[in-house]
Amino acid sequence: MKKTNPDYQNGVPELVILKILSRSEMYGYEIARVIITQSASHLSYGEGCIYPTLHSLQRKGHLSSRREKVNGRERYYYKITAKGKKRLIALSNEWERISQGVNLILENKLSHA
Amino acid sequence: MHKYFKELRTLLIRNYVPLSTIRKTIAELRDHAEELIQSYKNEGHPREIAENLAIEKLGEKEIIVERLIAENRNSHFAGRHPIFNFLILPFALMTLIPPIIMVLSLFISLGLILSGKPISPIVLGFTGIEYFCIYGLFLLITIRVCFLILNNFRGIRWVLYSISIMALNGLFFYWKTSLVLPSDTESGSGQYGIFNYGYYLIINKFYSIGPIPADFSPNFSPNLYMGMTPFIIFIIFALWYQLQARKMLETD
Repeated sequence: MKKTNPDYQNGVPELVILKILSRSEMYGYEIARVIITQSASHLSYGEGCIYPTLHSLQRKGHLSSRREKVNGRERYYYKITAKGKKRLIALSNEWERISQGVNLILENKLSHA
Repeated sequence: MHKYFKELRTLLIRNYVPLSTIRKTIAELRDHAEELIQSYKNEGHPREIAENLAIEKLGEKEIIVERLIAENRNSHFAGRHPIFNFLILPFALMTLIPPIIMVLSLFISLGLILSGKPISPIVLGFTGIEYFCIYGLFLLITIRVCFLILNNFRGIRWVLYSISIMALNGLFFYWKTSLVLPSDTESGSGQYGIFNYGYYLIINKFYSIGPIPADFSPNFSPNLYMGMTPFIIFIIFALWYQLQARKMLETD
């Protein structure tokens, strides 16, 4: 079984999913494909794990969903809401700040090495 | 349906995750798996292998279950604050209702005094409406707490602990007798509630309540029906959930 990358779980899925859905409406499988292709497979995770995150974002009002029948199967399409867009900006800024901080530490470490 | 989804669904039902969440998640995961199977088949894999690869790609079901439970809990105040839900709320129910009833009763007593009836200002006359309010309040809070406990299920130990607090509340707050003074009850009739003695001592400091019965002692006057109520309500909720879950399993 595919293990979940623990680093991927600390608030990152929320940011990644909001960013992807800010471009267009998608369903779970599509989101998973975009994550894998655009991260060049660096983000390793069990694909089923995106659904709890999607549900959580929907409950918070950051996403909305609609159901559609496709080949006899139920499919839920998600799209970002206005509240979700604000959340995306906040999370992106936070991520920027953290990654800059971490990079500074790493560069400093390298220069001392 | 593949064994993976059946097991996943069983795990979710066992954890009392809302059925609407289970339905939606299973539908999404099955759709996701079918898409994966199709892509593996397009790569030239036979159906059986494609299925296994797709299931592997979805990830460990235990992790998905864990995430769904966490997500469900985090979406409710009671789920985010289990100590409040399982400890403080039932305890508050236990400790807050008697003072409310006491105040209510004092108003009624005052009404009786003003109407000219010969009654001590603290002796409490209970009416049908008062019982209705008390039991109604108790029932409403108990139903709400039982619902929260089931919806944020954290194992049978937590359930028993939380429900027992409410059951003890129902069992021992035999509202009428707990507030009637010893001088106004028949000695040895068992009509002294658990808190009579404490009330009696406090009241006696400020107000003479008459001769103390020779056999005065704080007796318990358990109200078995009220004590059983929280268990019955919770069992009804749990059975209802299981019944609906069974219906869901049959339709798939």
